[in-house]
Amino acid sequence: MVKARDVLIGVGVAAGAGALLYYLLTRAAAAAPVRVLTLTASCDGDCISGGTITFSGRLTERGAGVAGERIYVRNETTGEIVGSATTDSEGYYEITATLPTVTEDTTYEFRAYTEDQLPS
Amino acid sequence: MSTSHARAITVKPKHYYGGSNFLYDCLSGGYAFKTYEYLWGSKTVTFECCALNWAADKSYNALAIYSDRGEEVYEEYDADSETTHTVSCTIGSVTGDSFLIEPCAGTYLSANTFMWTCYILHTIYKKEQDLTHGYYLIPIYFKVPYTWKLNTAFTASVKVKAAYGGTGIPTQQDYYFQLAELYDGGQKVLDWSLESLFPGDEKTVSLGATFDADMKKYSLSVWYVDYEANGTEYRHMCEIVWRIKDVSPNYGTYTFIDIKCEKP
Repeated sequence: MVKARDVLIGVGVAAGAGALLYYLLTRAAAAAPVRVLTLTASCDGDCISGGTITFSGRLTERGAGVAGERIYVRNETTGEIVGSATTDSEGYYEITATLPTVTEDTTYEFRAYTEDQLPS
Repeated sequence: MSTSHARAITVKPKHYYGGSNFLYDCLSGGYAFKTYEYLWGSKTVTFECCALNWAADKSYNALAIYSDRGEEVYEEYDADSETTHTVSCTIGSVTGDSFLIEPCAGTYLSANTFMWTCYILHTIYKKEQDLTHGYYLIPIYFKVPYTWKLNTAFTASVKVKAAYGGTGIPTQQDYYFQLAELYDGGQKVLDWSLESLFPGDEKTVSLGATFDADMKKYSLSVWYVDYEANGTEYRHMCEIVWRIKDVSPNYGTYTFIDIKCEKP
């Protein structure tokens, strides 16, 4: 037979779990990045050894462009910083760089960083 | 505070385009192509060819060997005007009474335009068979212009040695030599000659035409004439197909393409 005391304990446990879940969700939302940095890369036609590549993107904070921030593009495969630029009043940046010299098809990964996130 | 997603970029090698890749005497011993007089039975043999594109300072080329079986070897490579390139392939026993082998040199004229600029077709017969009654030709060399002046005459030459692989008493046989221009789906005969040769005879035949279009494709071929067939049959022996690059107002240059044709 279910006693009233047991029902009260069950309700209390459920309420506590709900509160904990709400706390965790709101905390996670608060910890989500408010700054977003995008990166696109394009070549004029194929990306040819020793040719030119253009990196562009935007730095935003809660959806609004961040001006005056130094952005670096790093070749993650080689560790080399291939160029940097400062975001404009709308948060946009553009960097033109020279592609590596290769003798066969070679894939490189590039990533954009703000100064404080740049790997040492 | 912020990093972007990574972007993967594939960088392709830079190529230079142009010129005219040609089979060239850069194999050991001064040959452009190593081939065999007759089919080799159950042995394994090695075919080899070498090319040079000296009509451009830098070029992007292909060199391959094809056969009745399809592609035996194919390589693409960058070269300057002094860089030679060699490919080879080994082939075991083949079936049938004849086998076509084709060393092919080609050139990229742009990133998307490729041309085979010089290739040889050598039909190798069984030592004894009915197609040519045991007669065959040993190709010794071709001599053709690889650059030339527009609207001027040129000659193309081939030197062969007649041979017999049968067990009977060989006789004089007729061989048909032909110079033609090739185009998609057909050919136009420009000059020809019929020669009667005994086994052991060596013969150089020169045929002529007028060069009238840049990178025009020509063929110089030699055929065994089989009068014993049901109606005269022409059996392909050897052939060179090549393109001539216009260098007007200069007259251009001939090149020898020597062939090492061994007994297997």
